Amino acid sequence: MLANLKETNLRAAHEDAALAVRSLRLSYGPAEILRGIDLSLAPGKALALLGPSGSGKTTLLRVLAGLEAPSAGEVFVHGGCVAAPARGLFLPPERRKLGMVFQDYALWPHMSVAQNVGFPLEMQGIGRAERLSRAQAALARVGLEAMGDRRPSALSGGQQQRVGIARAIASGARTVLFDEPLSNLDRELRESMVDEIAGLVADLGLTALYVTHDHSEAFSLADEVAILREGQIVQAAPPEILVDRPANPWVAEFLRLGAVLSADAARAVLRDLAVPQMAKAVLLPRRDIRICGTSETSLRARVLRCLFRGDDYQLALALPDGSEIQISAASRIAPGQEIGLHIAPEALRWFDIPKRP
Amino acid sequence: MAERRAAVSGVTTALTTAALIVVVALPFVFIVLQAIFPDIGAGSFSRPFEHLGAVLKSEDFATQSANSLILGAGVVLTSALIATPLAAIRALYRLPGALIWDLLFLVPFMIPPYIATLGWVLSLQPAGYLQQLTGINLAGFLFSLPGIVFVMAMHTFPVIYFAASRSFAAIGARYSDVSRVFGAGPGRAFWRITLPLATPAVAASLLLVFAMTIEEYGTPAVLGARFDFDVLVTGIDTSLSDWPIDLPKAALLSLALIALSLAAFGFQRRIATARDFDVVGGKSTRAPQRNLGIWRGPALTLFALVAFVSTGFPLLAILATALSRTISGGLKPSNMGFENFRAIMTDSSGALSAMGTSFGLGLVAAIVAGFFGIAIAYVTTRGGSGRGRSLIDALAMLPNAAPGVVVALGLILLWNQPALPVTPYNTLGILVLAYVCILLPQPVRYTVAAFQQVNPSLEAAARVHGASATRTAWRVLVPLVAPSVLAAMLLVFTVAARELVASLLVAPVGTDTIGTYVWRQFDQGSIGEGMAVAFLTIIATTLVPLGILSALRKVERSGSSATNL
Repeated sequence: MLANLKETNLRAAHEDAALAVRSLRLSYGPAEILRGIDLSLAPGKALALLGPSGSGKTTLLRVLAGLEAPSAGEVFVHGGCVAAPARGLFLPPERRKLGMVFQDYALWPHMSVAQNVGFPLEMQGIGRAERLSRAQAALARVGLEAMGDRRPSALSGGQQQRVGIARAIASGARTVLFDEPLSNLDRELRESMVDEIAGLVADLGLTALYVTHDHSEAFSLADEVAILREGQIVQAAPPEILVDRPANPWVAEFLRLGAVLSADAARAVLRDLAVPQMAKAVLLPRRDIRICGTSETSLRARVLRCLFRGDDYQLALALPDGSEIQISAASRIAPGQEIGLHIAPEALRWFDIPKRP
Repeated sequence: MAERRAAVSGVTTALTTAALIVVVALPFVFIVLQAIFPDIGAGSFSRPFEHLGAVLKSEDFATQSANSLILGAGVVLTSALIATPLAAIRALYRLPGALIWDLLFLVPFMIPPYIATLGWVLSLQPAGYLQQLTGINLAGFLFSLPGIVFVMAMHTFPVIYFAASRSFAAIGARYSDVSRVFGAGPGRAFWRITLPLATPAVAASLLLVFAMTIEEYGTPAVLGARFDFDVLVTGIDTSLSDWPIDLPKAALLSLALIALSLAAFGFQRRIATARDFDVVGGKSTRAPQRNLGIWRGPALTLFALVAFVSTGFPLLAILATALSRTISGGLKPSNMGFENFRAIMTDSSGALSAMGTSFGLGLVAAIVAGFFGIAIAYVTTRGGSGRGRSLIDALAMLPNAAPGVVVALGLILLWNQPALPVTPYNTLGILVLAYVCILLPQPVRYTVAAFQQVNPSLEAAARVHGASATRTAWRVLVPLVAPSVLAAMLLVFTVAARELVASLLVAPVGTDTIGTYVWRQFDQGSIGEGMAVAFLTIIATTLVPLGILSALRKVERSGSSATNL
């Protein structure tokens, strides 16, 4: 009875969602790429899939787009089920009404910029005149209204990706998939494009799903971030929650939140601290660590490297147990020097899951 | 240091250019001279252009040029009709045994076209194997223009198949799928994205097939002779070997043929290099191919049919003839045995010596061509000056436009000059010259490509870390290009060992190569022994290089995985 109720609630949730997957699995032969994924994204929200390479994030995106077929589970787009292998259901990509932005831009080299952007409209059977004006409008949104007649190859990487974005929004798709949209661009451009994309998505009220391996990109673009590891979601939460309360030591390390120590190491390092029962590991968040005199604290560290970053210095420190942590400092400290560190006991984040070696 | 290096590459450039002039340029110069001066053979420049008008106006010239064009167009069309659907299925759908079909479609390349044609004659001629087995007599079809077109298309369609399927697959993964996301159905994705993007690659392969067809000698010679169908290549052969020998006419026909091939190759190169998009490059994605569904059976049947007709059928005819005690005995178990193979081993008809000669010549030609390839690639990719480079490049690619019969004519005209103190003519050396000249573009293309793939910064890194120019070449460049050079040399060996028309024309008196031996046995000797040699040759020149290449690949792979550790 309870199980049935849960089932009904879940189904209702999926029917409201812009994108959702249930118990999704995908294998190529013996290799399991996606191992049971549940996910739901409300209309108008932005979700980022974050994970190391090989975690299956791009595959998950391609399953949603219809470019890959899942082995099991269900995929919902705009409330409708588009893939359910158990029922032999598979809606091809062209019938899912999505926009998509690709890492390698994937602009068709034999078409002009305007033809590329107008292609989705052409597929909807929209006449030439309206197509051109809507393509032009989409190009204007990304600041490329003067480039319509050019070939994609005549454009710079950043311009090509803007064309890719224009193409994704030109059709009026309410949901846009971004497959590592910025990873082929250099850093400066990346930072300004993050701003642009966020503005565009908010302006148009789009539902957006980003795949990325860049934490800051995920944190700035998304309302919620799902962290993938080996084909499973290990934590899905708003960025602030992820940083505040990582679900396990692996997430803390992956997000480079600070030093993760085993409970035994913590006992040795933080001598006057009570280690909670059941605790197996602890995170020392680097944003809560302050440098202080060696006489004021029992926590000592040795400076390994000191890098000037323009605004501040980045220190690489070795803790007594051998683990490394990076914090920022206001002034230069010579490598080899020993410093004291202060951290409030309530800032520590304890895990009942052991740290992996 | 820089000066010394420039000097070294200057010497290399000069030597390479000189060698290319002797091996490639001079034979062609003499064809041009012969076309203008009819008495050049006697060392005389008298009566220039006297022959020109007569030959150009002659009926032969017009007919043979037209026939070459018609044949080329027919074969291109037929090959494209066979290859394009196969390529689309192979590239876009999940075809069971895809790699095996690819391998099977490589086999037509392994069988020299004249041998395959002899197989077709044995099968389809009156009382041939097809009639013996089914009662159907297709001799009327075989000895007709459609028959020649069909037999040649069976040899050339894989060129288009491989070009188109590679191109379709690359586009499918990178561009066509993207159009699906933006609303295009599978049909529109193919017509709007895949086909336009594949057009340059496919068009280039069509032109290659055209050039291959108008340059081919064996098939039109065997089949066309039965119904008086002459093309430029057979016309040149007739002017050269049938009384009255007409060298000026042969030279003019050769120039017409070269002009046609040059046009085809020039056009092909332009298409291949001028396209402003590179569809094959970029991040490689595994192409998610679609299931064939109910079309699985029909698709497999089509592949099996084409594979059987193009390779199985002629090969089986050759094998059957090789195993027949007598041709008149037909396809009966009682008529089958290994007599022909035993006869070869006794060398009574010269089969063993012909094989020995051809394999030896093939080996020498491969080594010479390989060194040529390295020198040319080094000069063109690493040398400095621009003008010498493009001259060398042009000379090395010229033989592309010259079929064996033309090269043979050039060699005859050049090396028979009475003023020459020494000449390789009437020695085995002339065959090596012929093979190297005909096949030079292959090692050059492979080696140049290999050199281009070696990033110059790899050599720069070696120099910065203390290696001299010579040591850098030896320790960095050579190991990286060696596999390609070896593959090119194997190709030269394989093709040279079975070369037909140049061997017929310039082999020293009393010397047989595999090609001339099989040809003569088919004409007037023991067809069975001829086919037995043909069969052994196909096996030897296919399996040995394949074995070497796959061994090489294994070594490479273990090497690269070791460096990855």
